[in-house]
Amino acid sequence: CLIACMAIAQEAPRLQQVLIDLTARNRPLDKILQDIEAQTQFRFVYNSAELRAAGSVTINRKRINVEQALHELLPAGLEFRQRGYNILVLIKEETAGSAPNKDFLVSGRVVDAAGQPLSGVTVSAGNSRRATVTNEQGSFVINASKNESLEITSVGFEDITVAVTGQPLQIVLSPNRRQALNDVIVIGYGNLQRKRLSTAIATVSGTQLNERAASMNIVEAMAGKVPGASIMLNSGKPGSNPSIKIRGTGSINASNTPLFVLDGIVGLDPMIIDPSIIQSVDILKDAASAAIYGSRGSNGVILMTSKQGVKNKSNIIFSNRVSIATLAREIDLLDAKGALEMIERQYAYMPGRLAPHKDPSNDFARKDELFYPDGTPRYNINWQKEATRTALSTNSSLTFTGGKDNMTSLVNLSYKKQEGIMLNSSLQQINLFANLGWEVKPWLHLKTILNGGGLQSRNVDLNSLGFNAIREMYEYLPFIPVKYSDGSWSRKGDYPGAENSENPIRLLNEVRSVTGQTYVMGNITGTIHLNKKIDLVTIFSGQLGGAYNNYYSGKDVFGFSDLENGIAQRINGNAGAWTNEDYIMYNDRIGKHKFNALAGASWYFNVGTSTFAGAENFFDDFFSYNNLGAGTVRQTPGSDRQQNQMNSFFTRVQYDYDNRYLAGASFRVDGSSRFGANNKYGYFPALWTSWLVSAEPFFQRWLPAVSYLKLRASLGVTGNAEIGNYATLSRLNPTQVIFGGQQQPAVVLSNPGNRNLKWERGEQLNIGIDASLLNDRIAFTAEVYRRRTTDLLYIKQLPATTGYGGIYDNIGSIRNQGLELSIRTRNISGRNLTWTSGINFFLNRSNVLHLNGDIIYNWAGRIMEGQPTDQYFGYYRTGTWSTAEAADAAVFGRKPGDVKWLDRNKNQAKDAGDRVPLGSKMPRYQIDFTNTFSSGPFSVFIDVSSMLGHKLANFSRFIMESHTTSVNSYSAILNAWTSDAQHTSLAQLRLQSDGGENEMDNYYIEDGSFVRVRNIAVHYELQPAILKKLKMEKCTIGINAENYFLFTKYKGFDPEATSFDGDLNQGVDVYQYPKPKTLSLVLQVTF
Amino acid sequence: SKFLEEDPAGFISPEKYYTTELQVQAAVNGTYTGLDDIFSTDIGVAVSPSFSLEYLTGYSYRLRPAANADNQFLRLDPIDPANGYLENWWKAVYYPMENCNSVIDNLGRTTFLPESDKKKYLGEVYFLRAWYYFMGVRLFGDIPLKTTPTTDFNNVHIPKAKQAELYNQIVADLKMAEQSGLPWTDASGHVSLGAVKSLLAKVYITMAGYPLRKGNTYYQLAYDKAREVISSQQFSLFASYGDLRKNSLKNTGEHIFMLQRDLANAGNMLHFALMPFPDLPITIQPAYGGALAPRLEFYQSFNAADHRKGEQVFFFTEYPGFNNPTHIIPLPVPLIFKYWDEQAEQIGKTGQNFPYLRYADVLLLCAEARASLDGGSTTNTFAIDAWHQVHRRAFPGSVKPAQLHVNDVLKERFWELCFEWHTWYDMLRTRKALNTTTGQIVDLLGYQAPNHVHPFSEKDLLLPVPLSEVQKNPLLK
Repeated sequence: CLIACMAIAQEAPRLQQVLIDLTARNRPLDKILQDIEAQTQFRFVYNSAELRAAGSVTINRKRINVEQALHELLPAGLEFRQRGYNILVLIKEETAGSAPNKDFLVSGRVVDAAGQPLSGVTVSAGNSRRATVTNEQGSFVINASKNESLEITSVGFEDITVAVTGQPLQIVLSPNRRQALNDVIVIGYGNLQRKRLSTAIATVSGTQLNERAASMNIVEAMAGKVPGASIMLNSGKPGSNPSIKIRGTGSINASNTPLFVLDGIVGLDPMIIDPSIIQSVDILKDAASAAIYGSRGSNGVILMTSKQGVKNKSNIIFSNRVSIATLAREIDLLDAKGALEMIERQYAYMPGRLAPHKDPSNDFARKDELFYPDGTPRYNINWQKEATRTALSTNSSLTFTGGKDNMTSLVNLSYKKQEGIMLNSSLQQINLFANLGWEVKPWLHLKTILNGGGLQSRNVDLNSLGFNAIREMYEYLPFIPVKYSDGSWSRKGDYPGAENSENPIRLLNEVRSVTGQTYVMGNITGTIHLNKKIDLVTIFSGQLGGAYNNYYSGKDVFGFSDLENGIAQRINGNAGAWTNEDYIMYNDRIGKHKFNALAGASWYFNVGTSTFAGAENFFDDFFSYNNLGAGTVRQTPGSDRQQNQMNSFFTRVQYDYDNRYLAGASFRVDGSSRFGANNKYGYFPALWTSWLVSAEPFFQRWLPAVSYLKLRASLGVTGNAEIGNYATLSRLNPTQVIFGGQQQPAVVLSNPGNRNLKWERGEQLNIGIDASLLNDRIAFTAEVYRRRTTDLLYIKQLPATTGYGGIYDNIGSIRNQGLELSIRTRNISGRNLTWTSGINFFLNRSNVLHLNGDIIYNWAGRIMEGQPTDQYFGYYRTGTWSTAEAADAAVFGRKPGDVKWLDRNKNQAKDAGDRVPLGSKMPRYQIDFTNTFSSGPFSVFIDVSSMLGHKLANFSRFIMESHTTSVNSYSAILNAWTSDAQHTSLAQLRLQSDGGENEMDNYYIEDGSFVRVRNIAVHYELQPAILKKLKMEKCTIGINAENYFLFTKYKGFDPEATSFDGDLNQGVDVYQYPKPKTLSLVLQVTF
Repeated sequence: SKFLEEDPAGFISPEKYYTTELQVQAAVNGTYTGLDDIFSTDIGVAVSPSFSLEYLTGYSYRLRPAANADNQFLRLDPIDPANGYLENWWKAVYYPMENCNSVIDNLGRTTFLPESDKKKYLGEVYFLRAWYYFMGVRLFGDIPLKTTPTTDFNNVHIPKAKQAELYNQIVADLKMAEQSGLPWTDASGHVSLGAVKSLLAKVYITMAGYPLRKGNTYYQLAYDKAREVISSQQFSLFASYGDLRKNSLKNTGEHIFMLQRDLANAGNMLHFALMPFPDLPITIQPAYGGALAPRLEFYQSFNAADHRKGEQVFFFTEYPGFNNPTHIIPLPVPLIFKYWDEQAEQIGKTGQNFPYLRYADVLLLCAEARASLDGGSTTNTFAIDAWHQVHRRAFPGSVKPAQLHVNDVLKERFWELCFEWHTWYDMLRTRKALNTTTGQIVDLLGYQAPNHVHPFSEKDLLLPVPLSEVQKNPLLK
């Protein structure tokens, strides 16, 4: 945590900036210093003996700054130095001894509050690189000079710095209790200590981001760590984009993704951010905190802060992870014997009809290769095994940090290569990150970051509705081999009547889709200290990026490119953006009244272009997508250019009385080019307040068990502008029509404009409570919120008679309300064992309040007024018609053995009126439970996560487990209706040509509730003796098991899934990429 | 502020349009794009709203399993207003119509074009607007009539107009097109005078029949208009039925107006959708067929000597294996051959046009109008000759009769124009059906077609307004 402490140190006010009142008569010096502590955020570090020697002091000064006060208070033999929020009180060099700067041995002993010796505590000597650790008795000896101080650090305790006195030191460490409260969090255009916060901001530290070794990107790493943020890891695909929603789905036609900011660079793609460069992530959840980001804040804001170098300490940190991933679970599909039983039963629907392999008169081409003469299969292939592999991934990162006098710097180089468990799918990324902090002049501080790199992935899950490799892995028949003995690939249609589609292994090998991007972004922040109270900040940021998507499908790949003789395509995009933000900050204090204020303006510009080219008919697969000219048929090329701009003004004031009563307000004016000419600017106010109840004098007498208690409330308005560009303009789109076999240019009306269109408005009320109990053993935070999105950026459905399907308008409102609970406990904090736990719990309930009376049907669901946004909706299967019900079935035009649906409107026909709500797409409750055990050098981390009450629309099962399926199926299909077993929900098996309806109904909408042991990690820290030999400062070796245990009834690969966007179609599972379980070895060395 | 202004580069705002003749041409071309709207497909295999029109007749069925939406048309169940195909058909009327309104409005206000050129361009658009409305009024009955572009997106509730009013607009538009100076034929597939007059004949004969029942005045108008087309001698029947499928003969001879297709950029789905199901290896890509097949009863209603029933004319019952011509594969049932494309069989793509108006249709309209006008049968030689031209191609050497009954003409239409998306409209306007058992023309109401589970009744004759449209515009209730 050294880095974190130093990061805070940079943010601390200078001593002369902080004013105090001091009144004391003949009071011991250490008590007066405690008075100063009570009035400020500063903490003194001193040797009690030295202060006692200084005797008592009398002082009576109003509004004096701390520096001045200390000059007056301290006797001649002592001096003071500021270290962030710490003030070191030391014996002055000249009085300390005769041999300044000469090293001598300092000895000491480190104990805890109970006087028990602490072993393994790191003691390092001031500016030098010397360090040691305490032994079993807590004792240490270190070489130090008189003008140095010792830094004492140990996990679980507050770091302290003590002056070297020449006498043996007795050092008492206090448990690291309120560290979280003292942490500085980033709030957007500034920082704030957590204890002074009134809004709903959650923080994830860099350490937490690294807890799960298998996480490859920042959003994945945050999963389960933020109450209120639904992070769904929807696919096992390398580089897949997890969906993240903060406090529910507020929007229908605009985005529901939060705004990502890295060190002031606004609007990043989080997928390209390497987690290893991140120091911490702060998540602005409520509207009051996000309102400072105005029209882009309505889905929450995620502020990432990069790591920084440390002054006067150079380190090299090397970390490497090697992971092995395998298929986590298999779906219960039919084997060869089962599949043939299913097919035989399908043929037997018509009495006497024989399946091809049983029919002596059917002599299909591959019959003898597939079947023994008696019709039993020669092969039994498990396609889930064939199409997946043991995937090896590595993730290495090398960080150099350092600093001198007025500069700090950090350089990070990282490389990762992740193999997917599906054959040939992969992701690799290389990233270089560098930052520099430079105190150019006492009045000017510069900070700059540069981040650049490239990533590339090979995808196998193209075209999720088509016959892609993953779908074929599910659906391929198990009695057909990968290749025949003559070396040729098999095809599913080799068995007559089966859907004729390509072999999954061939698709994985011969269809090549590579996407990637290169990017560079940077910013420079200048802070000018105009005077003691006013700082001026100016930031320039820029981003450049190129994205590509290359595709080639070979000459003979059936159903993909065989008719075209090979298809090659390339899509290239380029984008650039710049931002300038300038603001002024004002800090002041009058007695117990503290103020700070901020005002600023920003400009943002973004432009992007894209190009598409494609060719067909290649004489050879050699060229792939690298030489489109080799194809003789050209596809229609395409290109596009888009641009958007923003211009904003913002201000914020905060007031704090005696650290007990806090209040603040902010206001942002946001102009966006995306809105209608009549409504370019939007206005976003916010208000917040909090009361630190536990700081009231009466409180500690009244409720001593509660050491910290704060109540807070906030109310704010944010906006949403994520509708894409040019949505307010009427359009004539160019297209082509054919005349005489030739393409001719044409234009058609495509989008009616709306010059009045404006941002979507999100109002949110948040009430929170923070508390620490029982000597800080239990800390908890609870929040309730009500979020109302109004003026939805909604494509208002228009009657077709207007000529259009819809027009963007500000119509409708959605309410999300919920509860978040976060509990941290120290269950055991003994000498040999510490055990801490964390529980995050949250729930969100949505309701569409108003939607112009429209009903929107999406995948197996609907959105309508008075209903949740995430509702499944469809027919309700009550079973199958039995032979006894033949007459009733006939009324519906059905026969015994057909599916029976609820006739809800009792009109004796199956129609739209029979459909009913079928459950929720989003979890009703989400719980994450983490435990950390530490004992000596070992620590164990266990992360259990659970989502409850959500359902998935298992489209894969709907297609496969159908009575007329012509592909492989789930084993359960053998429970289908027969005249002997009529009590079932599956209709009698038959061929497609025998007819019979099926529906995506409740039978295929499955409960997705699960408990997952998401991660188990064991870490071992190398012992000091070994470290010394290896010349290392620190070395951690760990092993990490991700996704090893999952408890669910869901029948697909994983109940956290969607095949489309997670905004409104979470849980729609169309042949999801299977999820791996991953075992990682972790090594981290600090030199 | 200026910083926030939008200046898109990838599309044009309508306010900045209509400044050059090429822009006008592109806008007029855009009004044709609606012609293929009903042939849209979704993720289902061989599923398209367009087949509903043939399913409704009861003379066809679907080889592939059908979902509820198709089943309602296939079985003649009451059609649920929530049935998604209704929305497809409704939008196929109004989306293209708005393009027409916009062009008519904007082009009307331009001044840089010579009047005669402007009139020609407008002629095409008037024809197409009439085309779209004619489709809508026949399928849905009373529907909103709108002839100006939408400018107000708040007051969007347009009431239904009476069918008579709609027909008046259709006739008015077609008359404008007729006067616009278009050439008789157009080999590139643009609207021609021949197309305008043929459609006008069709509109008139529809107005003469159900539901307006304007009777003889309109039979006379229909007869005159069809006769104009015939007398122009611009069109002729192909000698061979196979020529109807020949892409090289598109937009010529018998083809008066077609949906223009192109192999590379605007394929025709029919070759594939009409293939056998379960798959048979008779073409390079046999996997996506099964959308539409004639009911055996209908196939058998053809006279055994009728050339149209012959192998590989309108139907086929066997076909050589793909790349294996000596291996003849029998089809389990007779299938439609009208859209078979030998090129598609080899390369898996087809650019065959779809016939919207062909000369045989006009010849039969002429005969039907005259026979109706003359009280059910006619001795008018022009009319008899018109009918006989069509009949003679199916029955070479047949003798021209002295008298022609209207039912003979209707029968000829059922057989000649089958599976060309005409039959349902004919059944609606004549309220007649072909009884496949007796081979006779019978009243539509009370007749149960081979694939239906109910006989036709009054409520089956109009499609309900789509539920979603009623929700958006309560005046459509």
